Amino acid sequence: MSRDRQEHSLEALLQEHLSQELQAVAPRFEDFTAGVLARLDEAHDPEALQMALRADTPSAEELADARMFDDPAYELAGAFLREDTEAELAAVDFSAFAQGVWDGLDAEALAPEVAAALKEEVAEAVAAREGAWADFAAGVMAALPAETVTVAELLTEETEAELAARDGEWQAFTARVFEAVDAEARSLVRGTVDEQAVRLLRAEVEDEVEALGPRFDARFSVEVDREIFKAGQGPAPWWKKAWDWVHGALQPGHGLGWAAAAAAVVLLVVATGLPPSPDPTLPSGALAGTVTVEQLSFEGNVTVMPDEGLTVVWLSDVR
Amino acid sequence: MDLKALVRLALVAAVLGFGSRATAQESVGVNIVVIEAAKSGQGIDKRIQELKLNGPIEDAGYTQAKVMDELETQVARESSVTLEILKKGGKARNLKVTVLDVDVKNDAVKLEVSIPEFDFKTTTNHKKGGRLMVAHKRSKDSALFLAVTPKLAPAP
Repeated sequence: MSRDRQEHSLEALLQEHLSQELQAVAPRFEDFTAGVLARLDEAHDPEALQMALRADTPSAEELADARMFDDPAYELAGAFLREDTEAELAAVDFSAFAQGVWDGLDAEALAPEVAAALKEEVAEAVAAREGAWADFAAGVMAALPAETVTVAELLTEETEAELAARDGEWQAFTARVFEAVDAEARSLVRGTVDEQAVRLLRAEVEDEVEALGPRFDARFSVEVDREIFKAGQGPAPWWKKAWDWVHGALQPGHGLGWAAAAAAVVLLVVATGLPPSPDPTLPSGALAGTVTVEQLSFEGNVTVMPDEGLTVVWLSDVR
Repeated sequence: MDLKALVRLALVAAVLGFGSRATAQESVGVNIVVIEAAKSGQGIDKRIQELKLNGPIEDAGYTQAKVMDELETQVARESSVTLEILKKGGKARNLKVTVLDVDVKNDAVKLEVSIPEFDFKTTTNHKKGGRLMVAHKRSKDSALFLAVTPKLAPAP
């Protein structure tokens, strides 16, 4: 047998053994090898590689959404993707594959020279694959975002675009608010204290009426204006308040007779004095009152921070 | 009618009269302010300062805060109002405020505040205009603050 024919025979034998090893020793490995080869092909095609990576990566919209709500699962998506990919790449063990082939050759009880030649061929093939795989793995890892920046970098563009879009809404809203605040500030600079009080009361009531809208008719507004006018005249004498109360008590539906109402007035004046009026010194929007949390349910960490007039409930680890 | 009979009658009248007024109110003004805060940038919206909501925001280290939305509405007893606080990626997040009870005499309101998408629900008692603020840290540098204030209208 000539040297060429012997090599040809060895090559055919090697192919046959490789095929047998792939099918008999590790069927699972065969599938994986096919995947490896496909990825090797992708490694030479940056666009295909990029598409494959994108298929496994959450969309920018999903990531932006996750960022808006601090979803830990997505927040760590970049890091997880990197870890998974790294683990998958490291799991490819060509030495185990080579060992399997060698064990198969030993089992064939070939002549020592033939077995050595075959093993050498296999070692060279494996070495070539390992080198290509290392290059591929390095390319994949380089294509992934660095662990320290991960989601933040991916999201920056989308978040900024979203913030810019919302900024337009904010500007319209805040401009309206600032306009109202500025108008009120200007009005406060002018006028006497009484005028300011009346103006503030009127503005407050007007806001209320505007908010309640169609639920109130014009008659209500007239009544409100009358009250505002009276407020501007200073506090009413006690007998006037008492008379108003009696007058109100006599209205239909109040359920009291004239005598009862009159008696109540007498009692109030003689025994207890007039009912206390609301504290006029409390500015609108001042922190006042208390809030107590009676029940709370949340699948995460909650911190309740009670303070004077304002209780803050901090939610963390939102699913 | 002697003085004793007059006093007795007055007491009955006062109890009946004031009692009927105390239970007359069936709706509550509810103010909801949605605030987004960030640790980068400067500037707290004037509206936030006006409502004196800047304290907890600044205490948490946020230097910038904007009012994203504000709702002022009337809610009947045992009714609720829902405000969409953010909508991203087709998923809506809603803040739901339900008026459970109203006690005009003590200027107190019981609310149920929930965000179903977060599986969050709380029942709170607000006296004399006390406020609740639900805060949610969205990322390392930003947070969402939801301020809920019930307001009893003056007795008619």
